[in-house]
Amino acid sequence: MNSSVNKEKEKERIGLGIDLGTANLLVYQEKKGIIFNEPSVIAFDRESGKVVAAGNDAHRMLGKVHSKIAVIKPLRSGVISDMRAAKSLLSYVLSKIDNLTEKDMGRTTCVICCPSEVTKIERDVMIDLATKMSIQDVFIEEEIKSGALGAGIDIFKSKGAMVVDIGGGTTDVGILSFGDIVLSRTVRKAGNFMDDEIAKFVKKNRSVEIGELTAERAKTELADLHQNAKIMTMRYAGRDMVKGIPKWFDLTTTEMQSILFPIFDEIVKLISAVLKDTPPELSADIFRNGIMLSGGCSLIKGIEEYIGNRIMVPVHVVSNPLTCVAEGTKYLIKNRGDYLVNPLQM
Amino acid sequence: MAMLKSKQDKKVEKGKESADVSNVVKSPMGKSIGIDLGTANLLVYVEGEGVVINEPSVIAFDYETNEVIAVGQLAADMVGKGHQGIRIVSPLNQGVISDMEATKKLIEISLRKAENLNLDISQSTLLLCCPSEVTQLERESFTSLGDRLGVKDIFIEQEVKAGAIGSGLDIFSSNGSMIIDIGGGSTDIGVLSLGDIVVSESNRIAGNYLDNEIINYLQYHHGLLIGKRTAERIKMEIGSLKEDLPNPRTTYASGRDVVTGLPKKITISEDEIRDVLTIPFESIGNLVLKVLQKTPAELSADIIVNGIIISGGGALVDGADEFFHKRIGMDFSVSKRPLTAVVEGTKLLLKNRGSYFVKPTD
Repeated sequence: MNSSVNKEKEKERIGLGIDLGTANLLVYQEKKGIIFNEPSVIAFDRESGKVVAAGNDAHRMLGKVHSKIAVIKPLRSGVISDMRAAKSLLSYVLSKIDNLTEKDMGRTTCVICCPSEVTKIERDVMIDLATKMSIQDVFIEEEIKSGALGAGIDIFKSKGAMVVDIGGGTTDVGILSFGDIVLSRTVRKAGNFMDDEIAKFVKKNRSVEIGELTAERAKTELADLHQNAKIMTMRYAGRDMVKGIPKWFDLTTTEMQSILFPIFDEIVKLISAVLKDTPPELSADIFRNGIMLSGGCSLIKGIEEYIGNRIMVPVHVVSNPLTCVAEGTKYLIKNRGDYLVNPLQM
Repeated sequence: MAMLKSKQDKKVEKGKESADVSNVVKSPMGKSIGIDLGTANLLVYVEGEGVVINEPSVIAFDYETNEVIAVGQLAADMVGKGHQGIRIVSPLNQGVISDMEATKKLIEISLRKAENLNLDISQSTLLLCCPSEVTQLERESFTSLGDRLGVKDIFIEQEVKAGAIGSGLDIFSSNGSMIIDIGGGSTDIGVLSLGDIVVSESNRIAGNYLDNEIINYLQYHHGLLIGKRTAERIKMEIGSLKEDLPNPRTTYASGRDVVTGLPKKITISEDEIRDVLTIPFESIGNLVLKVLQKTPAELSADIIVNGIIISGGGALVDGADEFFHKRIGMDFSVSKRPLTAVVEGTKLLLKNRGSYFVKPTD
């Protein structure tokens, strides 16, 4: 009796949705929900090659390790740059969180999300990753499609919707209608690029070198795109470039704006470029429904106002900007990305 | 001598108690032993017993028979006072072993002095601490010391790592910390994070060097030749880096007049010694800067928040923290137990065998 239950259990298929983002890795498992939501960072022991930490624990190590640990971000600008690390990260997460071993992978259906404008090779790398983990049944979907579904937009209607996903490595802009993408564009400028720009600015204007974590913290604490934002000054520490010793420096909201405005202007340009190419019928829909913003950077204060004022289309941030892509995989597993089948009604 | 005896007596009592309680400890057993083999002092930690030895690393031999006459404090008292029949050896020089045979004897005899520990050293796990910037050869000499002692299970760890743990820093977190260990033979500076050393530097400007500087100063400015022990005493009594002292402390220095060759006694004051000590401490300060320059930016940010700990005998020089603060500008603080930090740290390192990702718990 017991064994038959086990057998039945074994037969049960596992559905996995993976949002392998540059900044965060989210794993959705059918019937369980999101089982993992942490930074896509992994730390190895250099000597033994063993995984020391992954996710939040590894993220905390960035820029702080000694020579025995290698901390790796397996993704760069939205695509896999270190295959071995990406595989270890996923295997580690799956086995840690849900005791899913390689044996279980045989009966897994997996959807992996990727940015919309990636090359064929970069896409194949994602499939390769799944195959390496012995998942046979795998398909790749665009992040914006999944994000739109996860945000609760019914893309299967004959109504056009526009989604802007500003993530860690890439910014995706897409127009969706009838269950698939009509038009989409990607730039590789997003959260991480902003962090780099902040670090560059500090280096140039304060002659202080700062690490990734500090730049990221400054961004989340100070970024405010409102026209008349409340001016705040925050104090951060880094290494003085001239003397080499640790040093405090102050950063204000105004300075942060001067760093971020050019980047957001470029994103605005991308949105207008997509809007320009949009079929007029869909443009009308978008003008009525507005643009939906998702991704980590849509949490920056005043972003709706900033983009809205420049494009003259209402802008809304979705209710779950960080998890919508992973939540959208829920539906994509059901219809396997087939635009004819509306998973919302399944 | 008397002190030594009473110490030993205490240990005997301790041993008896434990024997009464457990009623089994008969045959010697292997334990975890942590040794801070410093140029100035030898400290030994034994699992379950605490720090059992804390004495100068000096050993005295009979010149002809080569028999050991004294070790530890007794031998240290002889320094500069021995006659032809006695050979007094400091088996470590500038942080590393210079006389293997003497080092071996020193450890063996020190441990035997505490023999009621019921310890079988060949069955024990031994942790030896060494300065951070030693060559491979110098490091190997520590391992071969273990072989000579008959210990099979031996591992070497850096002093800064043990010192940081012993000073109460949590080096296993991702929060970076920095420690300056000014010992007898070497000064070690390390930045630690995630259970290991990220950046470290070491030079040989430390306690003994300071003593020599004091000897040189008195010779050239007062025409007085003094011994190492006197120099050390002066350093301990009035060694200071404080500027603008309202009423500087004074002490006497006695030795031999360079010119007349007659015994002579003079009085020296704190500010004189301060001027002598300033230059070596400045080069330690430069070494601190060198380490800070090599530190990753993210850890720099942690260090400016957490401050820098000074440990080792050199930390006891008055105003050392202020001195560094004035020159480098960060918060410096002296470790709570500057002299025993390293050996206390071995306690934890013995538990995880120096593995950086296992955080040992008490």
